Amino acid sequence: MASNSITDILRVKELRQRILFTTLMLIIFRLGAAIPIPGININALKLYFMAQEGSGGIGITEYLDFFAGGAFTNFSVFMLGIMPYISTSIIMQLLVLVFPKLKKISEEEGGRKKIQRYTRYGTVLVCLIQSYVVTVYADQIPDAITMAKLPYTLIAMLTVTTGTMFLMWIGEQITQRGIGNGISLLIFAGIVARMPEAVITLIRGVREGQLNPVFVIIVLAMFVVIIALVVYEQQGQRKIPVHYAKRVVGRRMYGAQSTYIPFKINPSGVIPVIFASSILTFPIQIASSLGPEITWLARFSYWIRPNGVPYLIIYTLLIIFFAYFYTQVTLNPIEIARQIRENGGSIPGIRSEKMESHLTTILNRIVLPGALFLAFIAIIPSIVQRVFHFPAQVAMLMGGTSLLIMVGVDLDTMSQIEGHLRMHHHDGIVKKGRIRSRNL
Amino acid sequence: MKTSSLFHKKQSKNPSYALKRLKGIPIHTDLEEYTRRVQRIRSYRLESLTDGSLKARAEAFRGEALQSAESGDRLPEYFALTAEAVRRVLGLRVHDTQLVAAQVLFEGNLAQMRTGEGKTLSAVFAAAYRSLEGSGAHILTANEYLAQRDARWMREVYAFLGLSTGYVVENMTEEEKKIAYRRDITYTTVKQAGFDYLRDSLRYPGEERIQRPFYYCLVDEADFIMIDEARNPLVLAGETEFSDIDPERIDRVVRSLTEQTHFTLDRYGRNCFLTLEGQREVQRRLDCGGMHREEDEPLYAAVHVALQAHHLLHREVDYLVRPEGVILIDEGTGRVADRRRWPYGLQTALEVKEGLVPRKEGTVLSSVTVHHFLTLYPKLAAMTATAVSAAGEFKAFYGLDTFIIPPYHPEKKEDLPDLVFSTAQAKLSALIEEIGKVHRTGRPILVGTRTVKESAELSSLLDKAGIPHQVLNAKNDRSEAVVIARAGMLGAVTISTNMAGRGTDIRLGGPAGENMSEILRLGGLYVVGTNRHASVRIDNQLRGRAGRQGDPGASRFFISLEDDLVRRFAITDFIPRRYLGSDNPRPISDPRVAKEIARAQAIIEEQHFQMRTTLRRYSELLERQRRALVTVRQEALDHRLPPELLRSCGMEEKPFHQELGLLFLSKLDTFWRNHLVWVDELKEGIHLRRLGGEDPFLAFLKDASDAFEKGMLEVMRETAGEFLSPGTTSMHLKFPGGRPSSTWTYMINDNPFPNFRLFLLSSGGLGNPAKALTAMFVLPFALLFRGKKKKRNS
Repeated sequence: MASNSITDILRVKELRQRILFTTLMLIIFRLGAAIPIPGININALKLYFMAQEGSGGIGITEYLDFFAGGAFTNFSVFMLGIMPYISTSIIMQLLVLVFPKLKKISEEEGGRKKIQRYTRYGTVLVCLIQSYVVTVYADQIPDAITMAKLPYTLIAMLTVTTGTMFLMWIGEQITQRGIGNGISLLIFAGIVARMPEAVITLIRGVREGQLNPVFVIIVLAMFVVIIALVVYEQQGQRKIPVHYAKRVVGRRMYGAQSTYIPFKINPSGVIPVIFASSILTFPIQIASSLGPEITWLARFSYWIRPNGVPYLIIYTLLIIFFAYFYTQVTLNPIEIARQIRENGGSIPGIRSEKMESHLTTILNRIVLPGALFLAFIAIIPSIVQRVFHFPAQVAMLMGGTSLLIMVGVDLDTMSQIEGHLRMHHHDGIVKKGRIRSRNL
Repeated sequence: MKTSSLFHKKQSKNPSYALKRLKGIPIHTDLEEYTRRVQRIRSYRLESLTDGSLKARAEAFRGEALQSAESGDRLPEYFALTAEAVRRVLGLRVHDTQLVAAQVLFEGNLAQMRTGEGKTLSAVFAAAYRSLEGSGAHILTANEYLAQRDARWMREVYAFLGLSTGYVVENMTEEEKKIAYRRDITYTTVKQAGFDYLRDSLRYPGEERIQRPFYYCLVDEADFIMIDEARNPLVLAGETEFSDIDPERIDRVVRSLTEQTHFTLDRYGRNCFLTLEGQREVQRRLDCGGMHREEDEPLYAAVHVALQAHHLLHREVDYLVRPEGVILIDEGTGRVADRRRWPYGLQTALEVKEGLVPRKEGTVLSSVTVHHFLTLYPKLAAMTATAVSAAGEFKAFYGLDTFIIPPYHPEKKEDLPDLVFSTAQAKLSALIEEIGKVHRTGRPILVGTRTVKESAELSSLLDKAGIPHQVLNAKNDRSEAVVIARAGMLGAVTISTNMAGRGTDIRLGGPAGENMSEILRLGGLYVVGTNRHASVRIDNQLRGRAGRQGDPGASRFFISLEDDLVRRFAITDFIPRRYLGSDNPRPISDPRVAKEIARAQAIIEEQHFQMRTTLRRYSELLERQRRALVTVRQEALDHRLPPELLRSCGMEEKPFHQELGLLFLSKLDTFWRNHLVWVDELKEGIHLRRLGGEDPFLAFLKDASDAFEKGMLEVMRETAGEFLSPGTTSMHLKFPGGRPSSTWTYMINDNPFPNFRLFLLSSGGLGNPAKALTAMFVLPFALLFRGKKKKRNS
C-alpha cells in the first residue's frame, strides 16, 4: 500500500514538483544553518557550550537552539531561525485586534498583503534588536570574536537579519510552491536535523559502556510505540452531529453524516506543554541563579530540580490545567451553541436549550484523558533520562514538545499531499477509463 | 497615416495601468503589433472587386489548414474581406479600433471597449475567422433578445463570406436548436448553451446530441457573465420530490410570529432565526416535535425559509411579483434575472408569501457553474466595457489577458465628484432640486437607482415637483431597449434601476438624432447615480451611459450616510461623528468622508473577490467529478462498460448488453443526483471542522472524493446485483428509475443567507507549532480583552 501511495504521489506532476521544491528549500536551509557568521571563532564557541552543558542548565540557549535547528549554538547565519517572524506575526495580529484602523486596512482590497508587508518590516526590526542582543551575548564568551567589536557587531547584525529574512522567504516559497506549511516545516526540519547527532551520541554511549544496549533497544521500541500512540491520539476525535435545517425536501439515504463538530481528544495540541514548561522554567532559573546565597532558595531549587519527582508532578498538573483552560477558550460551548442556533442548526436528539450543557459534558469527558495522555508524552524525556540514564539530547527527541511538533507537522503535510492527490485522482479515473478504489 | 495617430501615446502611460502591470495583473495597452496588422488589412484594396470574386476569395479560405489560421499570417486578408463585406452589406465603415479589438478577440483574449464603439462588429471578424476551422464559433450575448438581434443583423455579412448563422433561444424545439448549433456561427446566451450542454450530458441511448463539441466561444458583457454570475450553477432539474409539507400552513404560522419574542432578526447580517420561545411556538402550532427531532427537520427548514422570505427579502427590491411567479432581480444589474431561482425552497416560500401558486423546484439532476461551463471551450475570448478592475480575476479564472482598446472617438465625458449628504432626506431633496434645475435647461437626464422601490419613490417625488419623466423598471429586454434609446432626447428625464447600465446604448437626440446641436450645447447626457453600488464596475457601467462615441456628457453620484452600503458595512464608524444625522441640507465638503466611502467599496470588493475565489476552490472538485462521470457515461453510451462491472456480471467476453448498459446509466444518474445534494450539505457544514483544528478545505476534499469513489463502486455493485437477480424483467429495465419523465432548467441564485460568513474566515495562516507559539503570546491578551468586553457589556 505504501509503495502505491508513493508512486501515486510521483505520478502527479504538480505534486512531484512541489515535493522536489520543498526538499530543495529545506536543503538550502540546512546548509545555511552550518555557515557561521563572519568573525566568529567556532572552536571557542564549542568549548564554551560544552562547558555549559556540563553544568546541566537548560537555559534559553537550548530553547533557541531547539527552534533554530541547532543553528544557534553554531552562530550560523540562520541562528535566530524563523522565530522573529513568528513573534512579529503575533504582535501584528494583536495590533490588528487592538487598532480598528489596522483592522480596516486588513479587510480592504489587497489589505491582507499590506498587513503581510508590515509584518515583514516588523520582522526586520525585531531581527535587528535580537541580533544585537546576540552579539552582546557572544561578546561575553571568551575568545569568540576574532574582529574588532564595532565592525563585528555591524556585520553580525546584518548577516543574521538577512539570514532570518531569507528563511522567511524560503518558508513562504514552500507554502506557495511546495507542500505543507513552510514555516512549520522549517521548525520541523530543525528538529529532525538533530536526529543523526542523537543517534551518534547513542551509539557512542553504548560503545563506551555508559548505556546498556538492552535499555537502548527497549527505549527504541518504546519510541515506536509512542509515535504510534501520538498519531492515534492526534487523529482521535468525537463527532458531534449537527443538522442545519436547510432542506425542506427530505434527504435521501445517501452517504455518511457529513456535518459534525470534530472534537479532538487533544484539542489544544502542544500548547499546554509549552505553557507548562515555560512557566516552570521561571522559578527554576530564578532559584538556581540566586540559590547559592540564600539557603531556603537553594533547598527549593534542589526540590524543584528538573526531572525530580516534585517537578514532574507539578509539570503534569500544569499541563492538565492548561489543557482545560485552553479548551475553554478556544472551544467555548456557549459560543458554539449560539452559532449553531443562529444558523438554524440543532444537535439531533438534544433539545435546543440543552445544547450548551451537552457540549460542555462531552468536552469535559474528552479533555481529561487527552490531557493525561499529553502529560505522559511530555514527561517521557524525563523518564527516559532518569530510568535509562539516556543523554538529554536523545531523550528530548523521544517525547514532549519535539515529538508532538514532528507528528503534528507530519500529519498536516500528509493531509495536504492527500488533498493534492484527491484533486487529481478523478483525472486518473478518466484516463484509465475505469473506476478503481483509491490506494492511499 | 491615420492608423499611427490613432493610438494616443498617452494611454500606454496611464500610471494606474502601469502599476497594475507591475503587480502582475495582465492589462495591456501596447497595441503596436495589432496596429501594424491593421495597416496590412487596410493595404488590401478590395473596393473595385465584384461581389462574386470577393465571395470566391472568401470561399477559398474555407477548409484552410488549421495552422495557417493559427499563425495568423492570412488574417489581414480575411479581415480585409470581412471589412469589405460589412461595408457592402451593412454600409458601415469599420474603424481601426474595431479591427484591433477583433484581433484581440481572435487570439482568445479580452478586449475592453467603451459602449458604442462597436463591439458587435468586432466579434464578427473574430468569429468568422475562427469558424473557418470547421468546429463552429459561439457568440454568447447578455440576453436572448440580443442574440436574436445580432444574429439577424449580421446574418447577411456572414452569408456574404459563405458562412451560415444561427441563434438559439429558449422556446425552440430540439430540432431547431440542433440545426442552429451546427451552423458556422451560433448566437445564444451562456445560460442557453449551458442548459443544452447539461441536457446533452445526461442523454440516454437513442437520443441525439444537440450540440457539437465546443471550440471557440466569445462572451459579451464578460465581467457580468464571467465574474458576477460565474459562480451560479446552471441546473437541470426533473421530477418533483414528494414532500408532505404544506407551505401554506407554514406560511400562516410564520406570519403570526413576532420579532424579538419568536425570532431574532439581523437585518444587516442578513440572518434570522427562531428563538427558544419561537421554537416552542412552532412546536405548538404545527403540533410537531422539537427542532432536535430528525423527522421534524424538514418542517423547521420550511419555517426558516419562510422566515427569510418574509423578513429578509423584499418585494420591489429583491424580487418582482408577476402572475407567473416571483422573479428575481439581479443585485448587480438591477435587471430581472432570467430563469433564476433561489435555492432550498426559498423560492416556494416567497411565492406562497405573495399568494401565488408555487412553481416546482424539482430534484437537481445535474449542474455546472457558468465558470466551469465556459472553461469547456478550448478557445475563449471576451469583451466588455468594464474589465480593468477585474483583470486579475479574468487571468486567474479564465487565462484571459485584458487589452484596453482606445476609443475611436476621444472621450469628452466628465465624471463629477460625489456629493455626500448626512441624511437620506437631504440627499433626496438635493437630488430633486438638481434634476429640476438641469431639466429646465432641457438637458437629458438619466437617473440610476438601486432598487425598483427607490425608483418608484423618486418618481412620486418628481411628480409632486411637476417634472415629467419616464420610469424604467425591470421589464422585458425588448421594450427596455426602445425606452432607453429615447432617454437621450431633449428634455428627457429617465429613472431606471442600474439595469440601464448594461447593453443599452443611449443615443443623444433619440434614434433619429433630433435637436442634436441644442443637446450638445447643453453638455450631452447627464447621468445621476443615487447610490454607490457594492462594485465599482457597476458604478462605472452607469457612468458609461454618458459620453457615447465622443459625445459630451457628465455623471455624478449623490450619496448619503444613511445609504444601505454605508450602513451595512458600518462605515459610519470611521466618519467624524458630527456629520452623522446632522440636519445640514448641504453636501459635506470634508474630502475624508468621500474617501472613506470609496474605501468601503474597496473593502467590499475584496471580500467578494475572496468569496468568489473560495467558492471556486470548492466547486473545482465537484466539477472534476462531474467530468469524470460524464466520461464514464459517454463510454457506456459507446457500449464500453467499466471492466469491474462486466467482471462481476460475468459479461466480460460477451458482446455489449443493452439492458445492462441502461441499468448502469440509470444507477449512475441516481447516484449523481444524490451526490450533488450530499456534497452541498457537506459544504454548508464544513466550517465546523475548523473547531477540530482541521483545514475545512482539505476536509471537504477528503470527504467529497471518498463519497464519490464509494458511490461509484456502489453503483457497480448495485447494477450487478440487480442485473443478476432473477426477478428483473426486461420490461422493468426499459423504464429505469433514473430517467425522469420531464426536465426543466434554471439557474440557482447564490444562497443569499449562507452559514456564517464562513468562507470569509481566513484559512491556513501559520502552521501547527507556529500556531502554538502564537497562542502562547496571544492568549493572555485575548483573556484580558474578553474580561474588558464583559465588563463593558454589563
